[in-house]
Amino acid sequence: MNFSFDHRDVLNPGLLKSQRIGTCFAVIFLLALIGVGTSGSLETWIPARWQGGPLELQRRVRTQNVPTDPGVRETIAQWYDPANLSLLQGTPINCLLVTWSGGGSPDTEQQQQQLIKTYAREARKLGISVLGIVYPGRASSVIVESAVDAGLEGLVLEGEFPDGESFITEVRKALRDRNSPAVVIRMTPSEKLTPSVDTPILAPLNPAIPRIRESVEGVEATPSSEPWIDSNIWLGVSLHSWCGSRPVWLGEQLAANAAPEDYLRAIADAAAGGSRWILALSDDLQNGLGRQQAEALKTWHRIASYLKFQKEHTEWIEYPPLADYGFIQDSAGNGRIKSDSNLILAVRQRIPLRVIERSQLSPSALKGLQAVHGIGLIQPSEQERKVLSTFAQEGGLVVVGPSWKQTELPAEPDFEIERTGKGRVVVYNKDWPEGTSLSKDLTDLLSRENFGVRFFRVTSVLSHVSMDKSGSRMLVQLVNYATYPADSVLVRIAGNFRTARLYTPENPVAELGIVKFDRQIEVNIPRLSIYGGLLLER
Amino acid sequence: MSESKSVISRRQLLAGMGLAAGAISLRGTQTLWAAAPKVPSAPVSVAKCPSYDEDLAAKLRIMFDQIGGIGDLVKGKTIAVKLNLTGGGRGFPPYALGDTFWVNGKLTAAVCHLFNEAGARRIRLLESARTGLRIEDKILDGGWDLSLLRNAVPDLEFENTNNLGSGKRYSRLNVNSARPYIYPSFDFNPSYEDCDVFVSLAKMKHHEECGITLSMKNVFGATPCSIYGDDAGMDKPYERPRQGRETVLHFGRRQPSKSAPQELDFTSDRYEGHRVPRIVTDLIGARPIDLAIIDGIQSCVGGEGPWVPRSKALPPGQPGLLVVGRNPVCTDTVAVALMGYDPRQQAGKPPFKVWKNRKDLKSDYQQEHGDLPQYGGNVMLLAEAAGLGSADLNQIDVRGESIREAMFDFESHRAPWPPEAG
Repeated sequence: MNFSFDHRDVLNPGLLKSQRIGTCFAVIFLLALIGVGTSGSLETWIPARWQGGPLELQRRVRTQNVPTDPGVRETIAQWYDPANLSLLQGTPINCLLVTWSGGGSPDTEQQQQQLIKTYAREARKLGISVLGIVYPGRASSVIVESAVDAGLEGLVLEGEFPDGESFITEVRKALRDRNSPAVVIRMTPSEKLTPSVDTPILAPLNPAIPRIRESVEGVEATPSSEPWIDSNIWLGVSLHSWCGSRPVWLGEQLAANAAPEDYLRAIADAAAGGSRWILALSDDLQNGLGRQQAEALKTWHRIASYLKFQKEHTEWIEYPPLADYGFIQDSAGNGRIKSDSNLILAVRQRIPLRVIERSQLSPSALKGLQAVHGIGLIQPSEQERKVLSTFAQEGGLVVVGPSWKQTELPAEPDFEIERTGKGRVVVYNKDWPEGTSLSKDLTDLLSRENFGVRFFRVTSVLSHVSMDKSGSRMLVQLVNYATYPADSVLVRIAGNFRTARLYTPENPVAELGIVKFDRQIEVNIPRLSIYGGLLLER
Repeated sequence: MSESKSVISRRQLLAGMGLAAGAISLRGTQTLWAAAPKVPSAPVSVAKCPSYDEDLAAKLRIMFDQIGGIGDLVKGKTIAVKLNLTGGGRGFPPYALGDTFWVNGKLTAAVCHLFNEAGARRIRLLESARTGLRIEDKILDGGWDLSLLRNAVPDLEFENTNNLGSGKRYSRLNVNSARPYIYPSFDFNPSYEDCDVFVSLAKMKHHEECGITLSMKNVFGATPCSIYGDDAGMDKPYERPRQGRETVLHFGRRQPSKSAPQELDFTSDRYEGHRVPRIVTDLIGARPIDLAIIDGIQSCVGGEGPWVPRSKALPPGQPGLLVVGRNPVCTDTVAVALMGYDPRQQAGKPPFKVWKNRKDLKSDYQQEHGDLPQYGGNVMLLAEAAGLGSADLNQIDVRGESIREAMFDFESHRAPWPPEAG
């Protein structure tokens, strides 16, 4: 069906209201016929920040982030015109995060919520869920009452609430009291996300904007230095180690001048770690879409194709990581930030790894690994010592901090190696060794040629390797963070595989050649634009 | 004389060629043909080569013939080839590392093929890479086609010489030159001693501290960081080095591991532009180069790699040159002339005028000694003075292409230089 809709008409104040209403309902009727998005459980939600309305403008005035361009302000103010739901045609987006409450004048809040009530009703007809973003400033009872009245499917709490956890508890209770099935999601700093957190969706507040940084403070450009890559793959891998089937939503917001590829990279980076990026439009893009500008629509279609690709391969999220290295993480421990930093650096070294939550450490959790990173295991218990010692005796490599030993370690060198059984225990002399050096040590100690999967020509590329539960399909996800394509990416994999196919959002599936040698295979990816999923079958 | 005028011009070179025949004198380039001491000289072959897709083996075969052939040199011998694979990272997109600031893989394969064809018993590719990184992996990372090398020489060997590597003990090689400058001898990975023929397979490039880097400077990377690195052991080698050679070699802020020979004079000038060319000369005195091959088919300007501010890649086909010779001093001398410079230029004039942004130097020399002198010593003249070879074009038999026909003006391709200060 060829559907066209000129959003400028809707924004044109000269239009007769009846005309607008007629057009809007015609649009919604048509969209309902063709089906936009899919309504379903929260596991299937594909979220987008969809912020606008008078309250959003007022909020941004307060945060000194209001657009200077009057046209942009107008677009934001009129964003909840139901006609703009047409933008979602052909996209898999089925969950909108709208500005619901927080800090505005009572009149503005009321006006906003009335707009959204209508908007949400029309969205639901199209199978689209609407969640209200709540900022601090209103009592829980007021927020919940209006949200239930508007039929919102959830509330997303963002920002520092004075009462913290008790506010969330109040919101939940108020929803329960009104028999509302609406969910409550708290945007939370990643270091505060622990297995004990009670939330249906994990939404770290402060993920990185995926990109290459030419220079990083404190990091000197040297002949052998690789570019610094900001990525959230580690975060997805970390949270998925304990969150079960709960979705992970990443809430980073791109720069105002974000390029189209920045959106695609954010989607790809989240997907590679098994997460979803909460699509967030820059003011420019939002304004361009509101005004149906060709460039903006082109970007929008590219974004949609990436989201669609991710949706079509949802099953990949279920593939467990294929790892040589187990990274023990104590989410509730005092050294969470340092531990996360070590994990980031290990992922940057492209060490195939999986994260093991400390509480889940057991012999079976270490199955198939060559090495275990236990630096975060401050003061290991007897049981933990036993598990790791057995692992080392059977041939594994265990990397731990000084609390492993009863005696003090010398200041030089950084670590000592104890031979035990068929394996080794590497004991560092500091609780938290310098991260970059540690990550390089890990690569040396493991020896890169022992990695099950090795990558070449990937200075701008990070990866995540997983295997389906039957063990017959290996998935190598690659994200290129550079603004230019990565050429001739070479992947070497231990074992034997029959086929290698490259899945990308831009192109049809490509069958790639396999070179076999020394019980390994080698696959060359001629060109990687932003994302590629290399699927190998035995 | 302005700096720009100190760059050799085609006219000057033409005149210089005339002078070589005992003809005319030059104005404004008094240093150019200054009297040189009696030192060894050897022919140097120059060829134009616009692309790595040329038949490189055929071209090199002719060049080797022009310098007297390599049969006697390599037949039945163990050949160690020091590659120039400095640094890594992203390079200069969209070009592969081996096109712009590393020596090229196809060229290396062609060289190995010719050695093999000439009857070499064993061929080993040497380079210092970061700890734990195999050279095979490094070159794959840089975009080389490993199968090309394997096809050329099936039993080709690789050695990471940044530490002891596969050796059992370090090799101590004395500086056998008329004039050791900084060190009396060096400790190397044994691969540099356990070979009959030592080849420097280098890139033709600018260099941030030395002005230029060619076959001699390439050997700077032969020093193991386990001994000469910033994190080298104080008493003995540290076999997991991670740092570069700034502290020990560039600035002499500390000595190499005590197990290795120490400097001759701890009070000598600590400036890297003074030290590095002298250390390079010492290295050539300790580990003489038997065959110098310079890859100038494609290159970069403004620095030896993308980490140098204002460095940039040249496009394919530029400079489009190959240079080969048995004496590295003569070979580099010809190569510098091919780059459009006066090979006998004094330090402080292009290409030996360098510029290092003080903001890039957070410590080191400047903090201790004030502003940077901003020069690199002329390594050819230093080597000549040490009796290692002639840096005098009058004394060098250039074969193949003439310098004037093949010259590529590096200086004009630099980003604006010296850059606006501040």
